[in-house]
Amino acid sequence: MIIQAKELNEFLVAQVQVKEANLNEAEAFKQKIISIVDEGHKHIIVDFVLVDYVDSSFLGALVSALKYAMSKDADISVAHLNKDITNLFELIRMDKVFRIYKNLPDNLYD
Amino acid sequence: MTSNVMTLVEKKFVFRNTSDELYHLINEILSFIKSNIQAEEYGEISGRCKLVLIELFTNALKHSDANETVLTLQITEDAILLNKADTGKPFSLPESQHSQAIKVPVAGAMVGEKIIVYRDDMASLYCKIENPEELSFVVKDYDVEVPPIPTNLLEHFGLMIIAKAADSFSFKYNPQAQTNNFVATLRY
Repeated sequence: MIIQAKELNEFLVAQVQVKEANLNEAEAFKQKIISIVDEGHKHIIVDFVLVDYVDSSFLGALVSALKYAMSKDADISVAHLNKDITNLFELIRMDKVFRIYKNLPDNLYD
Repeated sequence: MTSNVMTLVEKKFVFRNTSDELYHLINEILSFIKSNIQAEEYGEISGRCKLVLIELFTNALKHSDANETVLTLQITEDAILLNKADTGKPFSLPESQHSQAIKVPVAGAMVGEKIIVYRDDMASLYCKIENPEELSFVVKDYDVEVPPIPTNLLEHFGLMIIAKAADSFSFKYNPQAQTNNFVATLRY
């Protein structure tokens, strides 16, 4: 399972379940986010707390999912980016596209 | 490759084009770099090296039909050179709204031209045809005053990431050996 989804107030937090968010995972991730949007969730936070690195394919899937979400009046933010992933977002300026949360409430995954 | 700067260390790493071993191999290469340059220099360059390595190997997984890829790491007095070589299909670009199709070796008449590979609201990736067998990649960022409209954004970031993370990035085809070389140089 690529995503563990939990509701948090008005948000749907989609925690990515792999350490290596790469080419192999990109399509399944995109389809899962699309299905979450189709369920009617409007504010989705993709949580990268378990992820070591993100490659260009996975990033492409994230942007593709964002485009779909916006077409349904939903939005996607990201959370818990490690240093490498933060560098990647800043390098290609995805920090201008996605709202980045540093933390989520501690008890979310209890 | 840079010929006027002395190479201090050179090592080859073989990637068997399976995603399972990608992360392990990247960590092995980074450990080797760490043990061969000053800690302060490694701290400055390791993040960019990692991004370049991830994308070079991901490019091999996606676009090369070769069974293996050889990454030659060279450490000079002031730079890290990462040369990814394989014997798969030479680099090509499909025809797009910005340019005609490009296939290496490129027709001589196109030498010197600068072609837009990708373009969106935030940046353009250009490819300059240095000679029929050599292309260099450069990114131009645009001012982003307000958040860009995501529907206008690209979803293909691989070459863009390498071109931005490295100080220079090029593709060279060796017709004698029939090898494709992507070469990224990161100065420290």
